[in-house]
Amino acid sequence: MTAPTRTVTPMRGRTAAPMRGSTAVPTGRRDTRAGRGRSPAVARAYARRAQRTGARSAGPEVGPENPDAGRMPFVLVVMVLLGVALVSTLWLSTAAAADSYHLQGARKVARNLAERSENLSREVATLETAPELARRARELGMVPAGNPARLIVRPDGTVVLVGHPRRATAPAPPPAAAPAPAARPAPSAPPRAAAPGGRT
Amino acid sequence: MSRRRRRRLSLPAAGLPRRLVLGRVVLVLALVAAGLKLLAVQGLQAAELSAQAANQRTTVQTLPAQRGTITDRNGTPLAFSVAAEALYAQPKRITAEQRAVRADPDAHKQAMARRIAQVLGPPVSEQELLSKLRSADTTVLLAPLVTPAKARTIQRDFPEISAEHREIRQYPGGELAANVLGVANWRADERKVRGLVGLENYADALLAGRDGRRVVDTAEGSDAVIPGSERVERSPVPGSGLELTLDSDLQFTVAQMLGDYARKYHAKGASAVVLDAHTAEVYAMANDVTFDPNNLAAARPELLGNPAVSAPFEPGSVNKVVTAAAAIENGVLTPDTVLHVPGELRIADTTVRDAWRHGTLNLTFTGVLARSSNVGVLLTAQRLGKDRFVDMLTRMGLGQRTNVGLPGESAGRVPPRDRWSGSTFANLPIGQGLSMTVLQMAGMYQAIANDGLRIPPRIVSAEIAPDGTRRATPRPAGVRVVSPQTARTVRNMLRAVVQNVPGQRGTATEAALDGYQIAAKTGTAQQVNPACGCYSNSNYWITFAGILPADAPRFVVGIMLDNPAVGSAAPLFHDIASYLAGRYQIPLSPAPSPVVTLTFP
Repeated sequence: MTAPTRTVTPMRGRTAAPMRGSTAVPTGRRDTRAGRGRSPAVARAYARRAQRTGARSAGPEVGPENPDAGRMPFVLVVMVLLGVALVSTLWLSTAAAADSYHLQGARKVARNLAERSENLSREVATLETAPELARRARELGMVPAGNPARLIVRPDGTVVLVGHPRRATAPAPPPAAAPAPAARPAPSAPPRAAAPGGRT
Repeated sequence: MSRRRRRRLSLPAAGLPRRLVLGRVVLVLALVAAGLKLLAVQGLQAAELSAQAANQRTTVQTLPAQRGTITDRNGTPLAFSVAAEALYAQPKRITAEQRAVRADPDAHKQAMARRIAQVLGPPVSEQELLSKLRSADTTVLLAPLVTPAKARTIQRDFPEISAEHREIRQYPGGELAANVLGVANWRADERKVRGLVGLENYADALLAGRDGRRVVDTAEGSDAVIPGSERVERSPVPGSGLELTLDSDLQFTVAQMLGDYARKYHAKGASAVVLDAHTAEVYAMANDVTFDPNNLAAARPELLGNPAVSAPFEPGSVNKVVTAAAAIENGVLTPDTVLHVPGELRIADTTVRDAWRHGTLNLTFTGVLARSSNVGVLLTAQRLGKDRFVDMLTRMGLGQRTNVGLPGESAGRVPPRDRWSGSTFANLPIGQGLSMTVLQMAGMYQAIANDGLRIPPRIVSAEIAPDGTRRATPRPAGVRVVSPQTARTVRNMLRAVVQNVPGQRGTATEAALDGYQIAAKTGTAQQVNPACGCYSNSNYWITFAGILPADAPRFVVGIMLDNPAVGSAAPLFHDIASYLAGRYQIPLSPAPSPVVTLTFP
């Protein structure tokens, strides 16, 4: 505030005092006169006033210097608190941002591993399906076994053969294209064994 | 003193220079104005301004949910999804950007094409990429399906290429069980994989899951995400998986054997089904032609269905089990009752003959079934009566859907009782005049195999929730068709069908399997000739049903061939049964089927 202050003592109700000559300090710096080299007349005027206002006058004389001295630690405390708050806020937000970068990095690693795992399991799934196994078996020259003969092992150790063991034969390779139904030869004889009775 | 007072008195009133007072007033006014504006912005316009700012800043991203996996009963994956990326470029923008930095756009595009072709490998041609980049389109699709790792590699080198998330549905078995699984493909409009046909379509709601939403803050005018600003509004819910009752190896083998047999005898179509005898789970369901779901574009649309459940046919003699079961259950006949069976029988306006010409034969009831005598069965049916016959038809599940869990299932057709003509009862007992699917046909024999309790078949064994918990589908309630004794009696009678004793041969001797008792029934049904609306004498459905082993049933096999150049599917059943016996290590029957007399002299 650059405007001249008129209210000098808001707390002590010295409403009349500022109008007196000695305390009407235009610049509002009351402490230039307080406690520093007063002339005897001034000191006497103070003493008289002190007597008039009683014990309270002792306070105001001490007052002007104490609030300022008492406020120093308070201001320091507040400044320190603000400083700490600022620093901690900065630190926390930096940490959060840093963590989010770490999180991004970790996610990337997890994603790469998941993709690799997915690729591998997809490959395995394709390779172990029945058609793929059959194809690879055929390539190796294996043939489907057909109906095997079976052996029964009796409790007394003898082995009984059930069925007729036969050498497996390679099946005929399927035709390149499915034959069209029109190419089916008309049966020369009725299908054996089960034609139902005719209708009349 | 007074001078000082006067000075003091005049100072507050007029001693302050006017400019100071004016300055003070101006400042106070400015403060008040700022305060009012502050109130207006903070109080009145706060919500609107925040919303505008948020609008500028926030971007909503969709978190795609992965589709559930379909596996067989052993956990082998049959259909699963894989994440992929589609690469896009904006040629005009690239040109503009390059010109802005005074670089040669075409050289840059060539470098791009070369690098992309290098990363993606052979199927992608550098020339094609270059021509796309040089085109006048706003946006071009460079590569539709690229693994995410490769997409990232390309984007690192060329940030102006944008990648869009896609999902590919893969079917590692190719044609294996394709009719059952169906196919699912990527829909650009929904940005999701959706089922098209088959189980993928039928169970789409379960498999698809639900996409999630993520809100991020992006810098104005760019796609850069401000780190730490992600908020997941809704996590994606992956789709549930399905575990089917199919066994991949059995499915493959049955499909291959069926296809080979159908091709060998030039059948117009063929279907086969293998059911568990006691639980009626569908272990295999195959058709002769199928498609490769990995290559939908090459598939013919008419092959995308599943004739095993959607194409009914007239069963022919396999339907004689209905009469047999009803006759035994109601005590009309016993297996050894001797019937005097003439060579032909006149009912209403039709004459029914047997497949082979004969005079009057003394056939046992078992012999009637084993020899598949139409006349013998019709005589039995007449003794049974129409009502008891219809009751057995219903209990066997004919004319009703099995609700197996596949789309497009047909219920078959049984003529309603009140619409029967005189000759209907001459047709139904021998399997003409009604239609059923191969699944329903196998279901009849499953009832006989399961001591008279028919369980509706199912194809979905369990649902696998996204967190891995398995929820088995509830077992359907069984239908009591016949008593256990009747079922065993009928099963034993049907063993004679594969009997191969000179003079006492059944119709399906090739179906016999050394070491196992087999119960079976052959069938030949005349197809309808659309030209005359009568039954054809040259086009037949060849059907077969078998129970393995007859003494302790494990599996039921149903086969249908559409007009093959062969009269029986017994050899095919033999091969399938042999494979089943080996794969499931079915113990041999303790003794061979006893020989029964079919014909008395």
